[in-house]
Amino acid sequence: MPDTTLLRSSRRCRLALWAACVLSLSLAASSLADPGASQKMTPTVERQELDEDLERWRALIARYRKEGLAGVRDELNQWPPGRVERNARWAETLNERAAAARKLSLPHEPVAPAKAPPEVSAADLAAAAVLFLDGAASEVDAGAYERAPFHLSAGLAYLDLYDRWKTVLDPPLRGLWYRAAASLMLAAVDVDGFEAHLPRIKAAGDVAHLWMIRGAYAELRASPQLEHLLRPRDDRTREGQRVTAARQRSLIEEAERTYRRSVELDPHLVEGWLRLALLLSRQDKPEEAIKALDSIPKASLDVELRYLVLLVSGGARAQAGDWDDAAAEYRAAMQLLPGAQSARIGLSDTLLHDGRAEEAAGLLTKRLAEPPGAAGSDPWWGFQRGPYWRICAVLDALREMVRR
Amino acid sequence: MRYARLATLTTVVIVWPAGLAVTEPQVPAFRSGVELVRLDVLVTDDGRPVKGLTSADFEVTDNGVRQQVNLFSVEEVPLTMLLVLDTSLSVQGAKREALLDAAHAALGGLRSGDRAGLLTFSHELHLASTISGDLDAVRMGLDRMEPDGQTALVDGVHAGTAVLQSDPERSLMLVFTDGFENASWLRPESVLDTLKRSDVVVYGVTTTPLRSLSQSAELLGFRPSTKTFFLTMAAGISGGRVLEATSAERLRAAFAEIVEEFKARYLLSYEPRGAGGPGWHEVRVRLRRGKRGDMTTRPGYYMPAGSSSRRPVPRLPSTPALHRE
Repeated sequence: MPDTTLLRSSRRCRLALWAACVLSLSLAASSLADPGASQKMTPTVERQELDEDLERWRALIARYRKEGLAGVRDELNQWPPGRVERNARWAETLNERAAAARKLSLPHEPVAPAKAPPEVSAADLAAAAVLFLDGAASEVDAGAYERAPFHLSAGLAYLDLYDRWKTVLDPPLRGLWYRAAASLMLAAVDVDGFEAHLPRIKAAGDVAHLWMIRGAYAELRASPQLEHLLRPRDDRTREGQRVTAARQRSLIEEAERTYRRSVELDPHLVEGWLRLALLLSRQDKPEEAIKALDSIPKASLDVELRYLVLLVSGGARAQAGDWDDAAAEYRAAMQLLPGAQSARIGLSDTLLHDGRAEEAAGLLTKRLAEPPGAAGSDPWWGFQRGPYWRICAVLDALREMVRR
Repeated sequence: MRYARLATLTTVVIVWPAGLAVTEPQVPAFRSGVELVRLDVLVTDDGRPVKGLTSADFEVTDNGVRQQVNLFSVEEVPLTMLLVLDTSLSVQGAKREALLDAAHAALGGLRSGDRAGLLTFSHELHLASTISGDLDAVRMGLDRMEPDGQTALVDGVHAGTAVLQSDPERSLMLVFTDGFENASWLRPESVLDTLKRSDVVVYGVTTTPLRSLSQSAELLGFRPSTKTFFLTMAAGISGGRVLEATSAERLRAAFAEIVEEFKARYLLSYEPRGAGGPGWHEVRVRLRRGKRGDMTTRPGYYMPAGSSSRRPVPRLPSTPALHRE
């Protein structure tokens, strides 16, 4: 059964990612066919292997769209583990090289190093370079920052696949798959290089998006499992815990700093404000979260963003103990999207705290009796998954800038 | 407290409206207009429920003040069980089949007169079967379960609490999850606070080795994370517990065990005397000298500031099954 919610909430975005993935491999294959391009690569690249991958992807995607998960399960489990592992290595190698290039202030060129790491073959590196370029044929002036959108789109494609298929993949393959996705995603967040290009980039809004994405990753890296470490520690604290707490704290601070920077660059970046507010709530600072939400320019927001602003505002006010205000915000969100689940849940939470159990049950019962998917989507479901929100639009904007 | 309600969860403060006392003559032991605290207590010895205790065997203190308790015969008090089941994408294939089997086993443990409902959660919640005595409707709901999406465990427990809190019976919420919370809107702390104010008893079944995770955290000096150990905390705060099930057989056994255990619990009640006013009341229950057993119950209850909100009167057996000390 395909993830129908995702299909509903961001079908266009995902299709674009699928397309990006296929396009990457197509370009890789066509680059290999191009004698000019082949000069950049190690001749040992196996054209057949890339062609095969490309065909597999195309067939899988087509079948998945037609038959759902059941149709591709067997095929997935037969996917050669070596290839996924190789992809993970590509990503790691590229990360290292990108970091090294940045240190030397060199433009990051996807050339094979003189000496390949022992575990990575020259063919792999060359193929990685092809993948990394992601359309070198069409994106002439890619520059250093082209890697971020590419890694992001590739990482998203992998993660998307991982999310859908993790339960049917064999464990070793699953682990490798996730590693590949995570490496690519982390590479995408490593966008310090963007700052160097600020003078070239006129549209500040898009840079703000990148800052926001970076903040989101810092937040994600601060494991929720260790969230309690943000709170005052008791006397059972040990040295190891202090180290972990310091790391956790620094990541959260980094995330907050980065979100603040993103909205400073673009005060109209509503998602930046929302993530900042949620992060502040997470740190038990609901009053500061409300202050951040109050800074959002309310004019010309689309319905989903208005819903999210009201939802997050309701949550922060409930956390601050302002139950009446919280209920009002939740009700307003419900008016915008009556079928959305989270605002209704939020309102029922305020009712239960007020001792109005029957009212809370009544509020939920009818909505929850609807079969899944029937009552409409909830923007929170897409938003809470992280910086995937409307990422395609960001990528398109970036590509457009690069073209200019 | 501004939003304090006439509350309880495992420990419930029940207001007995005078009018209803008239229409419920089968409950002569309670005076109308009296506030009662209800405690759902499990007594075990070596992991097995201890049976045959009387009210004289229990000693209850409310904020340190000893109380005079009554004991219901739970065999004759109907119960309401809400199955709150994780149907995220990971619960498919053999795991789904095992879960269905286990849920059917739990339903099979109910007695005539008991009621049940089914709430499923992925990132989306679905009340697949409202609470009723029609257990076949619940079974049909189970068979229609389709795994998909993420895991909104916290929202699921909240919705379960809301649904059960308006039900007058002894309420058991049987929660199953195979993973961790990753999609809810509500903060875990808020839902735990609501649970403290209700009389729902939460039992959890998980395929995640929470115990070893908890031990590791303890060894490292960490306090448990609310998000990771939400289910454990919800169970603890409501007087229930969490069982780990690492195989299909164990899953079935765990579900069946929970229903049997819930049926073997003791239902104590008392009028709080000299234990202070509104706010949190710490409750301790122990067995009197000469009796052995481990007690599992709610750690306390909220006494509301006013009595504007009143909980429905519990449906009690037509034959009074009340033992006074």
